Amino acid sequence: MELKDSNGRLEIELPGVVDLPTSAELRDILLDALARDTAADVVLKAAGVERMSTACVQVVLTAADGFKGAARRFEVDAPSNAVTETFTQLGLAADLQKLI
Amino acid sequence: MAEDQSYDLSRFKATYFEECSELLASAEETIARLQEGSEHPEDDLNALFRCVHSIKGGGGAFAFEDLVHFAHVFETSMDALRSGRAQLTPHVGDILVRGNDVLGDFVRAAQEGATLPADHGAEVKALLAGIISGEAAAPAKPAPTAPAAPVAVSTEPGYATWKIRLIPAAGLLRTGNDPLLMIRELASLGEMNVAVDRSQLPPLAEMDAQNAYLSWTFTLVTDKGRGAIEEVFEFVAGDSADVVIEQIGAEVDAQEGDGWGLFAPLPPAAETVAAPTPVAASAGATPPPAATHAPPAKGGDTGAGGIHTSSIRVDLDRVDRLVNMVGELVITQAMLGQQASGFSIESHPELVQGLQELSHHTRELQESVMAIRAQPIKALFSRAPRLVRDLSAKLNKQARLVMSGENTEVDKTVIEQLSDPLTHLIRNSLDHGIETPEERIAQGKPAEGTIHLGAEHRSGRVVIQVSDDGKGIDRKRVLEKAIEKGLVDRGAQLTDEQIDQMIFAPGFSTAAQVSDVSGRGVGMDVVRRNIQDVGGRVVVQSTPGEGSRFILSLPLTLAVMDGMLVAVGNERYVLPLTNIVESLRPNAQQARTLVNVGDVLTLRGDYIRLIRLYDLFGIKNAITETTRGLVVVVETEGGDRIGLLVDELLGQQQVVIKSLDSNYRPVEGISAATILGDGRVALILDVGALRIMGERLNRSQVEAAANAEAAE
Repeated sequence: MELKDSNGRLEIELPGVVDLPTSAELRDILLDALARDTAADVVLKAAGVERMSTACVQVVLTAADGFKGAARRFEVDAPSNAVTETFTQLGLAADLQKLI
Repeated sequence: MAEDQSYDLSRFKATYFEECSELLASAEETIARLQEGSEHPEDDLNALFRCVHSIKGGGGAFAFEDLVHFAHVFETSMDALRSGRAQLTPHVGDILVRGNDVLGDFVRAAQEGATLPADHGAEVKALLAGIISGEAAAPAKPAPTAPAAPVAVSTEPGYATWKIRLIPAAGLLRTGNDPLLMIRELASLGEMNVAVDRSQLPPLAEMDAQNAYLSWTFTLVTDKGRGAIEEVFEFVAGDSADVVIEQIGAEVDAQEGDGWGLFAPLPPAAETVAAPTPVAASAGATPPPAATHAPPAKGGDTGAGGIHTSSIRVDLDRVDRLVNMVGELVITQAMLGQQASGFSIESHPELVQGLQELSHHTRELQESVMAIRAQPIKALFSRAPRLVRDLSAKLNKQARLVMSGENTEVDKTVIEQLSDPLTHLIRNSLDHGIETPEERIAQGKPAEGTIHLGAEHRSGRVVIQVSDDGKGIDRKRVLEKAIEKGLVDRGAQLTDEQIDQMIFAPGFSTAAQVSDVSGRGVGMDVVRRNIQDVGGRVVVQSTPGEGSRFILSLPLTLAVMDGMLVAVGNERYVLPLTNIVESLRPNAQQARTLVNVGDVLTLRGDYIRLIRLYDLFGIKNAITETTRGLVVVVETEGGDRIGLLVDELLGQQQVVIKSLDSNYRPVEGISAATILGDGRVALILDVGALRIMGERLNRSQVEAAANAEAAE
């Protein structure tokens, strides 16, 4: 998982399984993205996610708040069914909708 | 990353399967107890439910669908029993036993990655479904895990609305529990609405991604009752999360019990119904936020919830490495002791004292390490009731199993090696020992035979006994058979004990008919070999008409033993201390050579065969004169005594057993090797084999002498 600069956007491609350790990694990458002195959009590419942990959901929510506070755009691109289901089951369907 | 993940998963799977085998065994034990009329059937049913539920839960995590599906039906049937909707009859008990077997099949298939036929266990599943009473409408189907839509209070019979608050402790996620899985399970119980509280989320920079920050309030409409809800949070409630479960409004028609006693009781639901709060979803009246709070279930008190064990799971390899290192330490300590043997306590008080302490500590360390590998023999015995029940039904015999000393601890390897022999012995007792009820009544015995399975520690060894009150060994037939098979010369005079020992000869069976239970003549031979492989001995005692008793005597540990170091010529041998009866320097009257028999020793009126070790192993420079050497009297597994002629006794010492079979090749008369303090290898003598070798040597010498005489 890494932060890629693509056409002026910062992209992060999520792996198939976003478990606890991966969530910690994701948090570090997002923090890095947030700390960059740029106004670039940050995009989480979530099409390939087969399993997402609650920890990851927390990171995404926190990051969303962070980018919002920095007046930057943060979005989840093409969330897989697993991602949508996870957010819905955790009662966060509306929060995900705001990020798509 | 994907690779890391699969690696991790396989590790968890291994743990899961280990747990499964324990849970299945425990379930079997519990079912047996229930069948025998348990004193606390409710507790046992709960325990059984938990076993199956845990297997199901783990199976779900790894997506073993067949397993989960079967476990679910199994678990639901137990739920019906627990709630009194079905009665625990002997027939139902049998179904549970079969259910446990099928569950075991599914676990094994999952473990081996095998695919079972689609209808595997279908019959048992149908029987289990039959237990579930007709009133419980379609309970055997797992509810869909789809996310719940907002719900309204249902008025269907048996349904109730529950408000559940889940506030994870910060460390919840680190314990491997993900609220997501609990929420999914909860949603499967009925219609559910989820409200999440994200107010605790910190800024990204301050966040620890592995901490839990979210908490939830669920509104659930279900007919499953509090017990089912508590089950969902069974592994986190109290320790890793605060879980509050409240019923909203009265239940329309209560069917469920009150939580199996796993959780502390809540005040009646009516008291908690109060003014609505903002947290509430669309589900009508809710209690005030500071309403009742279920105290966390503590494992020790309730036997459930977060099960607290003061044990850890350690890979066997690690323990073996530790055992090996202790072995090396014992050798090093012996070496130091030998080096320092020339120093007196006056000249080097600290050194000598230090070495003595080292010796004490080494022994203590060794014992502690061995204790790690020790397990109660219960694990082995727990299979016996089932075996006896199944077999006696098959053979149309009546038998009762009595067990004692189940908590006796034995080395894990010994337990593993004992499994087959013990099964053989119990089968043998039932098949050959215990008579049919008619025969027993005709002989004035109770129709029901008794098989006693006992274990105890006795003088540094574990003694396991399998005894029955059957007909005993038919010595006449054993002897006939032995003669027929050429194992004994016709006309040979054998003692009763020697005849009894014949049943351990390879390929020996007196069963007129080979049944699928026993009689193939491989059993007893395998029994003896397995037991000898772990350094044990097996003895049989039998009284015609009264029964027989098999006594297995096993070493407590396999790695280190107490031995007596003896010298023969320039060679050193180790005799297991447990074999030694006494040692003496015989006088001329005691040591005799009898015609056609060979060397004997008269000891307090008994004749004991004398075996000259130098003769047996072809050792030069040894003392050949009996009256100048030392005779060590040892006892073999059959209880026979023989005298071994050696040059001298060098002293008692702990020796570390190094297998000859795996490091070199099997050598007759030698059970293993060891390394002495001076680095030399000494062989450990196998007394039973020495007796046989001695007899053979004697026979050939007697024959040679006879031939020489004839030639003259």
